Amino acid sequence: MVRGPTLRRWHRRLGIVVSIFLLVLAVTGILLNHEPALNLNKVEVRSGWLMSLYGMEGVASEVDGFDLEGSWLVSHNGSLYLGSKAIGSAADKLVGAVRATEMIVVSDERQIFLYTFAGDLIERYTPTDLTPPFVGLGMIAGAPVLRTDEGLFMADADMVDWGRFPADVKTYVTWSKAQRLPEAQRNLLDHELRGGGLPLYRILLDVHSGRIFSDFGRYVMDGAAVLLIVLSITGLWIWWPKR
Amino acid sequence: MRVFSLNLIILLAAILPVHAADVFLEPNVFLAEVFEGDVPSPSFLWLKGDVKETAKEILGRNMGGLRQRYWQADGRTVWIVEEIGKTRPITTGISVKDGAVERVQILIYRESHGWEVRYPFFTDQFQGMTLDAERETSSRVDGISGATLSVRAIVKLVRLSLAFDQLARDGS
Repeated sequence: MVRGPTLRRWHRRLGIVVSIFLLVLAVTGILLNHEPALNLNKVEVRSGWLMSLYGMEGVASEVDGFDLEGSWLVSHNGSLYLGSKAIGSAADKLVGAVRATEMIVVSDERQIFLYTFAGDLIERYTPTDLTPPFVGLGMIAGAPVLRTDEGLFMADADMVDWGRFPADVKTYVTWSKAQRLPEAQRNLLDHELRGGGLPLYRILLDVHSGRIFSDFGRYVMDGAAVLLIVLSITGLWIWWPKR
Repeated sequence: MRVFSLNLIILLAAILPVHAADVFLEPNVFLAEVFEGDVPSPSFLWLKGDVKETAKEILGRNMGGLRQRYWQADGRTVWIVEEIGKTRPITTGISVKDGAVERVQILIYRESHGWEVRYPFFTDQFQGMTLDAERETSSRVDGISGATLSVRAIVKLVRLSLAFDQLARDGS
């Protein structure tokens, strides 16, 4: 049986490794034990990388959107947002968004989306009088203009039909272009996507169990627990009086 | 070698996902076919009151939007509608004549699986179907194994179009 200097040396080495985990377990354990008094469930953490660990993804640091004279329309992961309000989804790539006289008009490569200024969907449809793909959406005198490979088309006031529009006036059309979303707007959207933040209690509980790093973290904490058991046994063994 | 290549192609066709958006038929071409080139101007069904409730009952969710456009002529209404199969919308053209399904055509398919619903062996079985008192299809629809969600979506769209056809003809 291994005893004496070799066992003591391994006991010390294991002790150093386990002490790190023991420290984490002890500190988080004490805090969790006093959760009601510390009100840990009410403390919210909004750290970007930490929220990403929980799958609470926000928007990238640089994201593009369409300026609608005061509000911004953004397509993010297939969803459409007006400001920070989710207003629907787009199946294909967005071509443009404009603020017409009575509604907001959004176009992807195949469909037109009509919204009220408050972001309520009026209609989402495939204009059957046009041949996709749509390559540009713009405005002329308050009316939306759509550009396809076949030319320019302008909608009537109710956005029912699209009629051919003379190509020679295209220089007067203000085309909708994606622009970098201003920082304040980006933060607003990021906040909306990530919700209110993570309760500190939940984070401490997951650090305590190792679940914060999913299954890998759980197995690491299991390993630390096994090492602690080994350490206890070797400690007792070393301490036990020799005959 | 040739047999091996053919087998490989068949195998790849079976396992590789379909392109993000497969356009089987452009919506305007579908309309032109149904109305034999003489496509009427669109009409609108306003999604409020009974119409909204009916759509919610059939789809199992609130149908977005304030209006649904359709095309009407010669006792026929045509609907271009969408429903999500698993994650992405399936755009479908449905023609209803005298209260019965005349034609179902998958126009744009965006899902990676379940594209078998595009084939006539599936879509043809809807021909002549009507809506019963419970707003279900008058006949049983044979499913396709491996395409359950897409089949379910198309059945919903057929029921929705038949219900909308009734409501449109009632003057909602």
